[in-house]
Amino acid sequence: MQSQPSRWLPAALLILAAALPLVVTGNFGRDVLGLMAADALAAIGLNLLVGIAGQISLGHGAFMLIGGYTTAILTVRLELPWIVGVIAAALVTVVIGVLLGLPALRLRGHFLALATLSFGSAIPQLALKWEDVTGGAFGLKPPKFVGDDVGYWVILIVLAVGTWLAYNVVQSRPGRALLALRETEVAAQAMGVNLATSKTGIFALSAAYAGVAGALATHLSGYISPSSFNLLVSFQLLASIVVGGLGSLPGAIVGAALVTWLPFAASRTQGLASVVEGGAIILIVLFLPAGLSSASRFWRRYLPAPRAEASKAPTAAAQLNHVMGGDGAAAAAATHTRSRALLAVRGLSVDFGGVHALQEVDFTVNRGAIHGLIGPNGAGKTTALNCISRLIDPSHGSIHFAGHDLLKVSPSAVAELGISRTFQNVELCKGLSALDNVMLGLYHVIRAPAAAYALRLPVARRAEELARRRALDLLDLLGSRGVAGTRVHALSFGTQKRVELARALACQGQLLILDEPAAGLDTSERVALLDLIRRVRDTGVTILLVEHDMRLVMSLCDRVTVLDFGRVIADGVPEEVQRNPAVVAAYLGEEERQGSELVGA
Amino acid sequence: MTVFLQYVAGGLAAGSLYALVALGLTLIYKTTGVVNFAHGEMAMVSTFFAYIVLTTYHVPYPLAFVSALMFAALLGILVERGLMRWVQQASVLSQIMLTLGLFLVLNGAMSTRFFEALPFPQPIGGTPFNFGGVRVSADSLLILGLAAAIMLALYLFFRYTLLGIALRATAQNLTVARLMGVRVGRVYSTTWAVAAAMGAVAGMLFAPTTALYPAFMGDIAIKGFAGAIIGGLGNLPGAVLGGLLLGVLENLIAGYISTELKAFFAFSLILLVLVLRPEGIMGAPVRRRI
Repeated sequence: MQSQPSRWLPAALLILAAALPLVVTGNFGRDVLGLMAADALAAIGLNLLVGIAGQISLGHGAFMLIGGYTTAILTVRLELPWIVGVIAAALVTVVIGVLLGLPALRLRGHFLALATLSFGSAIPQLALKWEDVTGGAFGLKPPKFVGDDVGYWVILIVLAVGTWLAYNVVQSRPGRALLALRETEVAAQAMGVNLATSKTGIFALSAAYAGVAGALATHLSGYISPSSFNLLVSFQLLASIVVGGLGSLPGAIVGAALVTWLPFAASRTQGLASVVEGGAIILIVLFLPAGLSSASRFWRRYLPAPRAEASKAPTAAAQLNHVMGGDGAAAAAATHTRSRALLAVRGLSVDFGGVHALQEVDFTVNRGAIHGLIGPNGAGKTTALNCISRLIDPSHGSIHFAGHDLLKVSPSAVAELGISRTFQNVELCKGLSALDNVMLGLYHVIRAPAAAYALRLPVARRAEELARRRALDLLDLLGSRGVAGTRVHALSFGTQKRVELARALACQGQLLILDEPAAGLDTSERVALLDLIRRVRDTGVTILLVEHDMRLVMSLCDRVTVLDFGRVIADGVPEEVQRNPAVVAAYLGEEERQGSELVGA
Repeated sequence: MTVFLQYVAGGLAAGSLYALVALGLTLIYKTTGVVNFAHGEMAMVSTFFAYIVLTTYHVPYPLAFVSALMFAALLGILVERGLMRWVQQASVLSQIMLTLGLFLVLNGAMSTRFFEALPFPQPIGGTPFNFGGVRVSADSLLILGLAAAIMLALYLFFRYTLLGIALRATAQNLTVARLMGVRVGRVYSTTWAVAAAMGAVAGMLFAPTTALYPAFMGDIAIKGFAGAIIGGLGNLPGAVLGGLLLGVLENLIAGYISTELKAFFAFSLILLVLVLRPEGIMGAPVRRRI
């Protein structure tokens, strides 16, 4: 991505911060400045976790405490230099961050808040008790930075680097995965984002920021005790990021600076700072709800509207081949092996607390086919799709895809194996732009190592640029390039469906699952969809289609499986199925019921 | 054996306080789906109210006690109407941030006026009873009895009264309850009032054992969370059992291993229960939604 105007804001802030020692004089003033910078570093870490990834931590102060004690113990007891201590603080907090990330895999919302709250309360208690190492309530006195402003400068440089890294992460592939996690875990997994590694990873990174911040603050003050970073510090960090704007990196810096400065400014009246912080949180939550939920607005400038270059783009099938990353060879291969099964579902059964949603369902999707899965409402079609996506665990049965046992893999691995899908009710990341959503679809297609993105290495920048271009091409193909920069929740349902389809196409799966793609589309859009599905198949992709529009199904599908009340009642070519008495009964029966209700009303 | 029983008795006394806090938290969570992180601070403010009434107007203890309960109920209604109602449909993060903001405001506001630990009278006092070597104070018995009575009353209320059923319906499905004519707003206000009053009871019974200062409810509030989680968040009998269990366990640890490990144990227990069994000992399994 080229110019990011918002990038200049933190740079300006840092220059301003660098100039501050000229104005603020005296040791005390300089120490306060240093603390502000350290807290800003911790707040950025917390904001990555809360604002970007949508997780919750009420105990981040504990990571500052762990970082502070790590360096204090190393510098006091082993007399190592402070720089070793700070690096060790980062490493230790990363490990503990991963450990705290593990509960986050199972816990959400209030439960995660309570778990992190107890973590934030337990660690200071542990420090208090473990006297031999931590010095108990008396604390430790690690060496201060030598030289007048050295501490401030060191912290400022670390803050600058930390901000730069955070920006790089947020504005590229790993950041998209985190944002997707915040918006919808279901879709994130379907696009190949691994929940376990992403969640533990962001907890670890966020913990490292806090740990380094705590270590630096400890050397700045030359003192640490269990109460240095207690629960109140955790709450103040949260106040910082809420005041600054959730998800906003410059906001975190400003917010942390304000919240750290406040107690010194209001030192005459104890408690006043808390009242102001708490009041600010309440006012922001009540009156600026957008500030809480739509974080992306703060840090991302949207792309300008599409330019004329869109018209230069090649059209139709050639372009489809190009954007899908295929070259026709796949299609050729597919024609040769059309009879081979790609997806085999055997004896699939799902119980929802006594309700048999699916019973012994068998069907086979052949390579290169368009396979329809139809049935009246409540027949179990979407349940079957969710089993294939690994969002639901079947009670028994098996699903094999291209030689892999799907029931043995995670939901994100399903995407990596080559299954992409859309959802009945559209699972897009509503707070992100259409372009970002489609780029998320490229998550496991175009990739570089995470560290490369964080460091903005050329390989990562090229990957980002490639992903952006291909996503734009896909949007173009579906006639939605004009909304590339628009946030999804502002789009109509029909447009959202198209964006979701573009995202599914981006995945470049061997199997594309479409859950009611025609719902909510008008006649001309349906015709275009029909044409598109055929063209996608011609590139070599196999399609599994759930749809209510019978005309669309019958004209499009090579083979149709009919479900009713969780059982397969028919399976065959469309003409056969249409004449099957059981199918006619299932559909007509339903229409009769509906008819009589209408008469009754 | 006597020593062991003494630890258990002491644990039950502390545990019944945790149970009271846990009950209030659970009640709010059960009906409104919100975890109130300011619960302890609301109780702290109410206890200060009782203290002010006692020391400046020199009213008898029972009168101060009751007036503090009324104050707490009003505070609860105020918080519900003024703050929580507006984020009922908002994200969990907004709800959490709002109660954290309230925590900071209440804690800070009290800190501006009260700097030192103040003595708070015991409701009964006197010499402890002696049951075969195990000494139990009258106040401990009072706390235990109160917790049991409140829990029983709540249980009967939810089970058999129309309003109780309305509350349960509201917790299940807000829109449907509203359509069925449940006055949801009043239901929520009542919940917050009752929960805040229960918190105030815990605060006033706990204050004599430590002293009264703005942070005095900090630990016990988190232990209330622990009790609620051990019992299964949202489960009323579970909250009481969880609180009592936590009280006894931590007192045994304090007695046999180390006093300082007490708080650490309680906090780690929350993490442990949440990780291993988020539904607690009594709760129904937490269902995964797709």
